[in-house]
Amino acid sequence: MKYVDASAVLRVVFAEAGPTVPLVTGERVLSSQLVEVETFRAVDRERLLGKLDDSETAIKRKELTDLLAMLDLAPIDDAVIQLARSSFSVNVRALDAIHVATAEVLVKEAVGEPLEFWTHDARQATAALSRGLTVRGV
Amino acid sequence: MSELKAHLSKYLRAASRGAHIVVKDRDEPIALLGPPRRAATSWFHRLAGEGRLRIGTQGWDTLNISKLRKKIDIQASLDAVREDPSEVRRR
Repeated sequence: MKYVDASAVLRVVFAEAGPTVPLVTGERVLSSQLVEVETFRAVDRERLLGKLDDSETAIKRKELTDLLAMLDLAPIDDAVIQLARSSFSVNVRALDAIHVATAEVLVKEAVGEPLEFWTHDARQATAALSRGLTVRGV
Repeated sequence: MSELKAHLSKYLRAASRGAHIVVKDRDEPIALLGPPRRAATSWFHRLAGEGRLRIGTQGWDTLNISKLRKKIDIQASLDAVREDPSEVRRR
């Protein structure tokens, strides 16, 4: 199974060059519900900056909605908060900690199933690596 | 309740087909008769049943992504929405 952060989702939606998470039938792709907020805020930002016109914004919002509906999304519940608030061995941003903690909860639940943590953000990758997750995409 | 006792077999058959039957004692609901919960077949279905995962369609073959005219700097975009959206507010 694969966990994707906002950078991995946006690379697919914005069709950015570089390695992207393989979306393979039969393999689950998961994330935190946090990714819904992050990615839609990013689309809005690009519209406000003039990088996306009205038509492109409407299309990208639709594509993002479609993609997010395909993911399994975990809520930010007590288990996630407990892990996210615990100490990391590196400096970690709050939202990065929530993604890492969510992935850790899913690993614990999916006993025996390996998880790849997909991100294209170096700081997010460091946070995930610091907790022993297998990171791809950087 | 007397109706249930008199026709228990009929109500059990209905419940086994998916019906949910409210058992009342003097018009007061006291029990619910229904089909057994399906055993979780996987960890993600179990989490979904506990309200701890929203299962997606995973229908990748139906995903269509269009090309953009301009390149989007995703890293800058995410840094901004995660840390400081003020650059957008100033515009």
